[in-house]
This record gives sequence, structure tokens and C-alpha cells, in this order.
Amino acid sequence: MDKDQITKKLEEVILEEMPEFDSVNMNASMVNEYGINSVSLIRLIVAAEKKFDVEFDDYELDLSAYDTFADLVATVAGKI
Amino acid sequence: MADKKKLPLAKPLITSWQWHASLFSILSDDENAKKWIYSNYIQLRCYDIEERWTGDTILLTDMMPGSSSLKQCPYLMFSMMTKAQIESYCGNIIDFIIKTIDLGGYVYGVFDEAKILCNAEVDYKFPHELFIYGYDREKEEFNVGDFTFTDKYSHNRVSFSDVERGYEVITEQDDHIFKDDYKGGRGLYVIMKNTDVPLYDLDLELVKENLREYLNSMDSKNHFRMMRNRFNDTTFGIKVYDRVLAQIDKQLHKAEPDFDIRALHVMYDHKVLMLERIKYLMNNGALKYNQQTIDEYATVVTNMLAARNLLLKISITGNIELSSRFKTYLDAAKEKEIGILFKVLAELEEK
Repeated sequence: MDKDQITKKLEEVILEEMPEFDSVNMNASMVNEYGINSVSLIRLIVAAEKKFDVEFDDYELDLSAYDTFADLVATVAGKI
Repeated sequence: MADKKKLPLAKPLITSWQWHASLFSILSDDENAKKWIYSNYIQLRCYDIEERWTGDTILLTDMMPGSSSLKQCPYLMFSMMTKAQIESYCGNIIDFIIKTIDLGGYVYGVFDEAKILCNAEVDYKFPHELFIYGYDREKEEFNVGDFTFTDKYSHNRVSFSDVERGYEVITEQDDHIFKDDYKGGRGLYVIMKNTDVPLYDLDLELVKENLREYLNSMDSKNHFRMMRNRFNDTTFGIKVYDRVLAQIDKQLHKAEPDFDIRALHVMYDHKVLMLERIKYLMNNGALKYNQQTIDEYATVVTNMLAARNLLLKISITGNIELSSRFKTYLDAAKEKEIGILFKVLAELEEK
């Protein structure tokens, strides 16, 4: 799976988990633009783990590791 | 009166409870206040209490000093204003808050946040502390700090009318801040920054005493007996790890697991602050500079964060099989912390 495919699938995950948004800018700040917090990030990660059949390390669950959704794409890409 | 005003705010070093988030929002950047901050917040304690609004028993975990820090910190000037005083002085709560901010006072008190969060009328209350630090008269909004709006400590704007509604419905029975202060009644706190004059030196004797009591899980409550003597069954210091772990283990094995991660937030913030304290003591010559100590204590912080986030993940997935890893992180943090802090204490005692 290439990076574009991962991005597209992760966009689907994000919009399923955050139905209040119609679209997602993968390069925007997760916290400032989308109000992501520690709990909502881990919800997203759990959904992404299911979608991509990967597992995030426990040290990769913290919000400080990600500025944008693109950072999440990079972490998923490193596991596939 | 100005059209709008925001009092200075720092990024709080720790946020785990509203009283800490508020104090650290006012004082985190102040060099005088750091001398008081790093002399304190070393001891940890926890005890069971019944949560007022759910009736559930929770393990209340906090650093020392806890909520009394807002009143007792030498770098804050603190006034309790009863509801009757507020009405007598200003007539209404909106004018009171605006005038207080104009005079440099932050406002802190219990408001019904159900009224603030919900547009529709609801038949329940959610009394919670709100920290108010600014206003905009044109937009009719206050600037507030709180956990409730985004599930983490954040700064938001709340309309004058919501603040007024949230204030009016809180009764004496609902006002847990006044109740916890043994005062009864209903009112608000006014808090002013008081940092122009150095009033408190970095207290290495207190740091050593606190570290000794923390590392040996000694009972620290008797230091406060002159003012307070209604004590719960309290666990202190390093043994807080064990009691928190036992509490979470109990939660994990319920038929319907139910998690309260606040204790872990507090423990994580305690480690963050301890790491900053170690660096501060090194920068001020109280400890020899030692990068290895800093790096090793940073792993304590990392392991506490991993434990907290893993518990969040378990609560979302319901997969309690992951909980063995949780214990591993806590055990690793505890063992490493004990080793480092005994060395820090030994070095301080040599001086």
C-alpha cells in the first residue's frame, strides 16, 4: 500500500470517527483545527489499527507525537 | 471599565486538577514563584472519597499542597467573597467579575457547567470550578480556563449570560470549594498575582524533608494538624503507586470495567514537575549537573505517560489483556524513580 492509499484510507477513518466534519485537511493542526485531545487521538489510533491491521507501540499513543494527521499517516506507513 | 481585558497567563507546567492548572497558569513563568513551586509539590497522597455528583467512590490522588495552594501560596493574594458581598458591592455577578479583572484579579469558583455546556435546559447540575481571566464587553464573553469544554485543560470563551446562569443556580450545598475550606456558604475566590517582591527562598531543607517523606511513604498530614484534622485513610509517597495500581486492577476486573484515569494524570504531572525540579536544582547549583540523571528521570516520565495512555486505550477497546503491560510501566517508573531520588536526596544531604 503506498502513501496515497494510506492517506485516503486514514481520511475515511477520521471522518467515520469525527462525523461532525465533512472533509479533512491532513496537514492542518490536529489540536487547533480539529480539537483532537488525548482521548480522541487514541480513539483514532484504535480505529486505524483495525483498518490497517497494525498495532501502535504504547509510546506512540501520545498527542505530543503528532502535529497533523499526516504524521499519523507516516506512523502507519512505517508499520505496513 | 475597559471594553475588553485579558490578565496575563502562562502555559501551565501541570494541569491535573483545576486548582493546579489555575495556579500554574498565573505563576509558571515567574522566577520568584519557581522558588516556592520547586520547594513544594514533592509529596503525593491518595485516599478514597465519594464523588459528590455520581456517588461513586474515587481514589482522590494529589500532590501536596493540594487545593489549599491557591490560598496559601505566598505569591498569590487571595480573597474569599461571599455571595452576599458580591451582591452588595456590585449588584450582579457580571459586573463583579469585570471589575475584579479590571483590578488585576482572577476569579475562581464553582459554576454549574451544565448550564454553560448545554443550550437546552437540563434537569441536572454539573458544579465545577471555573477560572476566569478576561472579558470582552462587546461580545459579552468571558475568557475562562477549564477541563470541561474539550476534555483537557484549555482556554475558551463563555457568554456572560451562561456564566450568570451557571453562577445563580449553585447553592451552598453545591459549592464544594467553600465546603472544602470549612467555611460553608456560597461565593467566589479572587486571586491576584503577588510576585513583585521575593517572599520565599528556594527551601532545600523542605525539599529534603519532602523527598524523605515521599521516598519512605511517610505520613505528611500531621504537619497541617493546627489547621486541619479531618483526615481520611491516606496513603503517601511511593506507596501511592501500589494503591493506584490496586484500584485500577479492581476497576479492570469489574463485570463492566469502569476507569478513572485522573490518578494517573496526577502521577504523570508529578513526574513532569519532578524532572523540572531536578533541572532547576542543577541550574541553581543545589545539585551537580548530571545529564545521565536527567535522561534517566525522563524515562520515568515516559513510562508514566505510556501507562496513562495504555489505560485510555484499554478503556476504549475493552481489551483488559493489555493490562499486564500497564503494570510493567508502573513498576519500571517506580523502581527507576526510587533509585534516582535517593541519589538526589543523598547529594542534597551532603551539602
